Amino acid sequence: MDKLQKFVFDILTSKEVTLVIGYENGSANKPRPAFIREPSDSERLVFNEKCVLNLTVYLGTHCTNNPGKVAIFATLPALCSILQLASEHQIQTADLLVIYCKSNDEFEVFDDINKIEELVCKEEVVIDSKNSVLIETISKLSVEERFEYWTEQFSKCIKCYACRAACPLCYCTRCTVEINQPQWVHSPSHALGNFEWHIMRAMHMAGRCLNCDACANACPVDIPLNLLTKYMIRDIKEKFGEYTFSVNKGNLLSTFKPDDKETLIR
Amino acid sequence: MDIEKYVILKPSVDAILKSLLASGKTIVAPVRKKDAVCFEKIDENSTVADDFVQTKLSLKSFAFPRYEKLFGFNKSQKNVTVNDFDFKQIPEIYLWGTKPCDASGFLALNAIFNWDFKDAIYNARQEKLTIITFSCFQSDENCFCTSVGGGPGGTAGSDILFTKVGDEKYIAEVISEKGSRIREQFSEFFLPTEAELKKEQYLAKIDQLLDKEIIKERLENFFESEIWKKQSERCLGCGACAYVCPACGCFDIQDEKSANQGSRIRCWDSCGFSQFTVHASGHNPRASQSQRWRQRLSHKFSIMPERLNVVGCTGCGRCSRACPVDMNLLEHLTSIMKMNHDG
Amino acid sequence: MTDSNIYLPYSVRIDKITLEAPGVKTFRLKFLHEEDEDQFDFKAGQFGEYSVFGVGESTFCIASSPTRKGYLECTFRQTGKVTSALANCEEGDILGIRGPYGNVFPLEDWKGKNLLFIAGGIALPPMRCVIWNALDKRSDYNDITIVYGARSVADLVYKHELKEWKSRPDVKLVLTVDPGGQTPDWTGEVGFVPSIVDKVAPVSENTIAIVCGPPVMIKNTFPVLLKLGFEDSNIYTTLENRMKCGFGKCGRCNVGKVYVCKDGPVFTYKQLKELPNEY
Repeated sequence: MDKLQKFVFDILTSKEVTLVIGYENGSANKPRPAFIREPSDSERLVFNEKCVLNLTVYLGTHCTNNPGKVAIFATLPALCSILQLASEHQIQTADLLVIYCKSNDEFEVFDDINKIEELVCKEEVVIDSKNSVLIETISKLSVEERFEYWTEQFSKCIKCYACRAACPLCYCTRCTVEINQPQWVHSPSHALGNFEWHIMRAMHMAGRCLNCDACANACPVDIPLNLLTKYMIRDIKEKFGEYTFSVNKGNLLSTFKPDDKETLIR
Repeated sequence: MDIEKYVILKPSVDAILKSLLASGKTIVAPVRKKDAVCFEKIDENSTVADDFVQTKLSLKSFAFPRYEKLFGFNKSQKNVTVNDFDFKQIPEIYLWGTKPCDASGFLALNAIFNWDFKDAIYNARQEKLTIITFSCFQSDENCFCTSVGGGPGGTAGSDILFTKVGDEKYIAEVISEKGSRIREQFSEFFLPTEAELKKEQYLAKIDQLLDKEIIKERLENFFESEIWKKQSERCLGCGACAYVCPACGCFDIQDEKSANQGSRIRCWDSCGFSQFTVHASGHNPRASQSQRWRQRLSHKFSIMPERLNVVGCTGCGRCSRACPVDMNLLEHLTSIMKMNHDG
Repeated sequence: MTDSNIYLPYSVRIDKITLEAPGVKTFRLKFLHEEDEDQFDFKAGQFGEYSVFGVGESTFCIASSPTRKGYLECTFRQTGKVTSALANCEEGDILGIRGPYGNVFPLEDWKGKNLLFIAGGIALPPMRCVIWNALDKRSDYNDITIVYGARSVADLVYKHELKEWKSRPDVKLVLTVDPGGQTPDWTGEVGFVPSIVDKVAPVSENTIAIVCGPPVMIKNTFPVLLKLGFEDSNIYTTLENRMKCGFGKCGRCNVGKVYVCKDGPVFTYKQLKELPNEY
């Protein structure tokens, strides 16, 4: 048993927590979510560089009725989502033990949301070079060329909503697309319906996107959805000078303070 | 009709494709794009991919499109004129290079769309398809066609099946009337069968791991088992599995309008979505993901076999490959096989 | 001739609108083309998919009897998107209807028997079809008893017809409202429908019971009927479920292997007990 597995074994045995949401090896040795309740099952848990799925997507559904505390494996983006979910009053952090997995054998345990915020504040949200280059390239296209690019990408979309399902911040029990009075977004996967969905979702992510790539990784037809939200991260960083997650400071785009800069309003 | 067996040389197979293209036929074939292979309309410059296990999306959209305009209407004052579906505009399409698990998916959809009420729109599209399938000589760990009554050399749903036997030769099986028409058109290419050629030797080796009768029985007898909850715990409730599946035919009907004109659209839907069965009153018979997971399995492996005499699964493995959280269907079905009387 | 488009509705015009109760309306519909009415040959128990073109479709039973030609009736409560659009329709507007779908009340098998109709609130519409069907062929059946209740006097539907049924000597009508729902001049019973059925104590021998109502009413009425000696195969009810196509293809309305749109909506209590607990 490695250090991480031993830690889980101990907290389950002592009943400090009753559920651990982590990763295990799945098909073709790709990691997948695991829900561990028995100490003996802690041997199934793994953590490696392939563990990128944001497990906080399960915090709402799996914690509500869980008797006792929940522990969760978190990568850095997942720490951000815990802060964001807490600031949006979607999770009770008092019942949450966060196991920040830094590498195969290094992890740090948090039970205080403020300590998580301290750590996250020190890390800048950075868009990786591959996607940065793509964003640069697409930004330089003309409006018509950009529209053509996205028309082609969205033509692949089958409206499976895997992007929504994988995103921890898409937690609405009745999504905008599932409301029919009025029918805000067309359901069928034609060009208009697809554009409406992706643009609307990107806008709902403004200021909240965790940069975790869950949406693009989940997409079965390989649409680079994360470019839309990463572009907004870049945009917000430029215009507001920062992009962080905080329970205490309030959310960047949904908190109004009288001394907010208004130079962006023309 | 009985299946007719022939031998055909590789250059002849290529020539058939070339000739069909040259005569203006619409051919849809697998084409490699970056790391994935997709089915798309090809022309004489396209390279047909033949060295891949499976595409991401199935071919069902050629008979059951992602969205289908069922009819249109014009509203003015107290009057409505309805414009019926134009059956004449359905194109003839050749699906070239399908896999046996794609072709057999149409049998499941044929059964659904013809159960008592015949869906003329689906049938019209399906009838205009000519399905030319190539047997599989490779598979991956997600394939389980042999466990659901199919196989890497299965003929179900195809019009012609080619099986590569060595570098320069294929076995050709002409399965249907549409297939016969092709054989007649290119009769010089279809050579007498060679008795010593055994198709099975050239097919991918896919062990049968499941018994669909046992799975059906388990689904019927263990409705209240905890296993559905355990299996579906990581399911995110998206529609990826249903939409990539060649045998999933569930749909929604939506009206769209702009000013005085509009249409009624049939579009794909998934039993995995949380609102799929919700009543206007708010009551939801399948309110939990575990109930929806159980429904998905039951529909495919118990309800369809019982009511429509067809299994709602071709073992193509697309659902497992597409799932963001590895809901591996073969793995789940294997667990179901292992259930004992305690559930 | 190619098969016709099964998604295409018949066009009907709203001939008459009646406000039955708060939020509840009855539409009398006439086919625009006579041959459509002949094709739409329905029997009691069946339902249709009613369209507001541009808004969508809604599933309701056919509330008028097939013995009465020249029109169809449906009754609905304004609940969601399509029923709200229907509620805003005017006489003369054109709607669509697809159908008839579903199975039927086996009226042929009930000949010579007593019929006991038990309904609650907005669930009288599916029963109205079969009640009028039986009354229009009155001599085929023995005693006919109707027990109908609603939350309050205002919520009773088909008020005009209730008067007509009350006045008929060949029908026993018992009306009730929930406790607190009565008006000062109310002369009917006061009590929940199951308890009133118990009080009326209809004879179970040679009697078919048909029960329609909100789930809680049905759940509490079944034990009363069993206590009175009814066999579960002689108790009929209707099920509702979310529907879109109405003909067994969209994959929505099934309860286990049973499709409410094809094997229902009419079920016996015996059949209901065999269904998995998912409706």
